[in-house]
Amino acid sequence: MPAALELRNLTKRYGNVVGVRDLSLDLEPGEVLGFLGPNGAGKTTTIRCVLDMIRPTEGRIRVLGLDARERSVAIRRRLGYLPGDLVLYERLTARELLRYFGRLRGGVEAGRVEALADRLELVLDRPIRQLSSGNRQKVGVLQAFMHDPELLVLDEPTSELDPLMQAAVHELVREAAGRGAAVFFSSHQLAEVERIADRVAIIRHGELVAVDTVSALRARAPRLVEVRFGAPVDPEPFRALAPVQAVDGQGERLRFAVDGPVDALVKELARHEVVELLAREPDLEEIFMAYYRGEGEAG
Amino acid sequence: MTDIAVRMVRDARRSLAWWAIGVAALVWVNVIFYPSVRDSPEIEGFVEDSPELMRALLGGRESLDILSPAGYLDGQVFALLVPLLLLIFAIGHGAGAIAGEEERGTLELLLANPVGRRRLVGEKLLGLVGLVAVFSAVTWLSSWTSGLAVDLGVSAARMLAATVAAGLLGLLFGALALAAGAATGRRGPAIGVPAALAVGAYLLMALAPLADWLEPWRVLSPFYYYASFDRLVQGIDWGASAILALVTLVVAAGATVAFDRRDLKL
Ligand SMILES: Nc1ncnc2c1ncn2[C@@H]1O[C@H](COP(=O)(O)OP(=O)(O)O)[C@@H](O)[C@H]1O
Ligand SMILES: [Mg+2]
Repeated sequence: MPAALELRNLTKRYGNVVGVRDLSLDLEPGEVLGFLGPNGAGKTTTIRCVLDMIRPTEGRIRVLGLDARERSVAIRRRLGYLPGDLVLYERLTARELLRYFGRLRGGVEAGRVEALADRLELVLDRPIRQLSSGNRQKVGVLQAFMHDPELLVLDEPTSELDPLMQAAVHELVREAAGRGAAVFFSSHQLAEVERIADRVAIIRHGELVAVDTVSALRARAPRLVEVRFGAPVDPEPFRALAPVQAVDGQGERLRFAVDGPVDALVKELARHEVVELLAREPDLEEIFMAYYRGEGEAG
Repeated sequence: MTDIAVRMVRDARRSLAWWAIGVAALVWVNVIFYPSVRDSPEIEGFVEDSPELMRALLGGRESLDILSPAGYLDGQVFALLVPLLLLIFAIGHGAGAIAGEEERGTLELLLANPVGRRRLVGEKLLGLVGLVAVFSAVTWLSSWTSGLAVDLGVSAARMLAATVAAGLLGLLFGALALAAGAATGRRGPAIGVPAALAVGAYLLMALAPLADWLEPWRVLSPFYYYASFDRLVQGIDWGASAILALVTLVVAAGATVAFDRRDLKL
């Protein structure tokens, strides 16, 4: 089976502004990939290239084995898309909008829209202009899922939703993946991605800085060593140690990020009075922040 | 394959209703004064005394024609009023078709569906044809009924010929708006470009008889193929209709090419 999504050296420039640079990424059927990055990182740019709404400056995109540009219509038939900036037809009701899109798709399974609306607690017969932003978002989610697509591309799908509805969307995502669909899920919320994604791709300033499973990212990340000394200690000698990547804190409390054997650090610590010592894996938030600051190693 | 066109017409039904009321009222008001104008003694002198330039701009009629039934109907309704309203209507909806959706942002979700960009342009053009057809039908119906009311004596078929010509003219400028919108994604140029072209084309057609050097260029003006007075006297002109329709199709083809090549402005 071909990859659900295959990005090869994707670059998109807007004049002098770089949207994404040299991005390569694969997504397999049945997989949920969290596409994680802060605002302006290039998530929406990447996604719009996949949908053929904008064209790459360089690079190649294949979706479900088909060329993104040449076969865009065939691709979109099998793809569900939730835009990041969702704009709906204000004067239609949700039902009218979904019926319209259903017809453009050559019909969707009977009862599917109603079943999804039930699960998302969406009232279908009210004009969209009267809906809250959360309810609009549900309409967007519904149109992305209603035809059981093979690939779901969701651009920050839960940013407008309350936690309960976030959970409902996560459940839809897991179900879709369970029946073999691939899900490309962009988000700037780490906790969310950690909860539902098999793999995480971290993008920063248009460049991919890491792609891996959450556990591998964690295993590969530097260890954190937190030390309380009996008296204030000069941090400078520690910075000179090769495996020590970063030192912060001051006085009696210092924190070290250590990548590799801790032997040198321990021997240096032994020259002082150590009151307390804690070594642990960083949580994902810390890994993520490290990548954002540009301190993490590229994957 | 007509869902988008049907949607476009349905979304415009409120606008269409107001335009229909407006155009019907204007046609009626103009036509029902025919008997009193015809019988008023001052009117002929007024026409003969008016400057050549002004007569040219009002449709280039000779003074005698203006009191004939076809001349009156043309001068009051078809020469300027109907094409003006139709152009405003068609340009507005042509600009809204793609540029309007793109500016509002609904285009992104619409194009998440399996709809190619060429098909989108084609369906939007089809929707525009539908809207212009309804507008033209209302124009024709109100001319015909008001004509009957005052015993005007211009046949329904001749009125239909003039209305079809007006519809084709409106459609051409509406297609220009659609194309400018498809090429730029912005409503400003989608309205501005066809509006400026329409003013230029009208002036070219109207002023050509007054300047020898302009005369040969008249054929470039779509209004030259409109010639509503001739339609009201002679009936439909297939050749001129074909030219207007063909140019519309060429413009639409240009729109698909331009739209297909560019990034959406989202
Ligand atoms: N249409 C555009 N024109 C110019 N710059 C753009 C455009 N769209 C996005 N950008 C720029 O590209 C970068 C990536 O933006 P975007 O893909 O929207 O990020 P994200 O979705 O991760 O928040 C940003 O610097 C943004 O300002
Ligand atoms: Mg975004």
